[in-house]
Amino acid sequence: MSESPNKEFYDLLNSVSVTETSDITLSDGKAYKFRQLTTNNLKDLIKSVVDSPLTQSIFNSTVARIMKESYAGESFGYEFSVIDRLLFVLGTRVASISPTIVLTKEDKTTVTVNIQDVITKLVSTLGTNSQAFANGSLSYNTISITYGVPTIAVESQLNDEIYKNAELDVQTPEQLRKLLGETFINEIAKSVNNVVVGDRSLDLSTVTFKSRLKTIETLPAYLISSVIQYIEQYKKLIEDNLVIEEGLSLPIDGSLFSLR
Amino acid sequence: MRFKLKTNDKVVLCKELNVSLYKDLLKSTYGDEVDLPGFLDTIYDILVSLTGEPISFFQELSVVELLSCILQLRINTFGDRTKINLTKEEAKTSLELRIDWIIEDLNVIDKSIISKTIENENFDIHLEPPTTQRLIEKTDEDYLYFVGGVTIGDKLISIKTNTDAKLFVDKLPAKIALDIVKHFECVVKELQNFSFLDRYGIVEQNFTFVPSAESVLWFTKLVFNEPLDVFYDNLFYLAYLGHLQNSYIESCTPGEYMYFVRKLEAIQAQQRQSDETPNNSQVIGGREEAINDF
Repeated sequence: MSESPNKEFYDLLNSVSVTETSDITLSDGKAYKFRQLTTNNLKDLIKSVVDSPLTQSIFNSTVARIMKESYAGESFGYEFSVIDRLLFVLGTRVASISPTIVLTKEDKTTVTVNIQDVITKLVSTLGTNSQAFANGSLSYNTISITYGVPTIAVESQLNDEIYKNAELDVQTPEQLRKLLGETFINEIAKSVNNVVVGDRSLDLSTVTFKSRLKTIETLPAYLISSVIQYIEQYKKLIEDNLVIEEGLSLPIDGSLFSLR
Repeated sequence: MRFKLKTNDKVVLCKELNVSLYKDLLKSTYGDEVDLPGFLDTIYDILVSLTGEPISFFQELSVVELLSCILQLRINTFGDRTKINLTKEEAKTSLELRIDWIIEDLNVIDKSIISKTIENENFDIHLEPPTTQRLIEKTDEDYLYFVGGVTIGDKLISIKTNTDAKLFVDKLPAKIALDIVKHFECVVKELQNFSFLDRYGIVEQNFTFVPSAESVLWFTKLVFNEPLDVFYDNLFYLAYLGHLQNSYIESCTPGEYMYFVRKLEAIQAQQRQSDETPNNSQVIGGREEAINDF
């Protein structure tokens, strides 16, 4: 794109830059300041509608980048979790576009959803079920693990290392089986933070995602199944809050930001 | 003779069109695949030549104003009416279209439908009909054509290209950009419903304006509709039978050219009646105005 030589015009661009912030409450119950979405941010989110429904890697990466860009606090350490990201998505949708969205049901009738109500329910669920979302630890023989809701940093690592170059276009049942299996193990790997064997400890945030996967694959089935239970439990609590009525849920993808 | 050519901000004195420029105009609109930048350059050149204004003056006029200038030129060349055919269930009816009414309606479209100021706390965004230069600069997002400028305090900053409009809109809060898109959608809907035939009580057919370079070309073809071959035939016969110098004809106004054509036509008809010699039976192609079908 050619650059305009007009200084006056560039002064204009600086003067219209988004400075207005809004408070978005994240999973720790605290309000964080985020700038409103710019048109460019909005376009990127809408473009992410074309994404793998299984991994949502484009949407997740886009949101993580925008969350970082629009955060108006002092520093952004990528310590926020994927639930924080969900609360950011809903909060920024309300603050930057409108508090309501019209969803179309299968029978073509429409339902107007108040997103703020969904946020309120979600925050309440996080408070009353804090145990389900809290980090935990498990031991089996000499192996101990700690686990928790994945951070955005881990998910970004997964997207950058694995999904970015992966073939997500499924053509055959065999490819689908393979992708489902890989996605499943990736979900587990995202949630495990630390592995201790005897007196040796491995902080998984310090290794590549591929190393993380190798480590997870060596863990005893008991530990893995417990982590799966943890994931299923907290995900169900989240998903229940997104159900508007039977057969209709609030979509958490690019379509949430679509104008239509 | 000169007449007043009115734009939104300025009235300029304009000479009458001459046959030489009229020929350029007909040539620039000839055919089914007209080169739009070439057509617009011809229009600018003609208007520059007739008014003495710099070319930038016409390049910076909105598409509505430029079309209005072309229609004003038509009124002062051939009058304020043109015939069109309306087709309904295979039956054709003729309508004498008032070009001055189209100009009035274009003014309403400009001021009441397209132009709008979106007011914000720190700045106001002016949406307006684009210039024809903007319209031939392609963009992926059509609403960008209409972002004309921004006022910050008492300072107005014009946005002259679609590239600058994109840079500007991308930086805006999404809510404001949505207001721009919503206004653009309203403009499209209202323009679809705004028919120039409403004044005649005709509702079965639509005759609408779209702010595009193609639309300017279409209207120009509608009001300057003499077929190019008929024009050249007439020039030939005026020189061959009327003994008029081509350089003289080209300096005349199209009205004078038409007068000579009709005069020669009448003389030829008289001669055909009084003289039965077959060699003198050449007929010139009178400018029976081509009638556009709807």
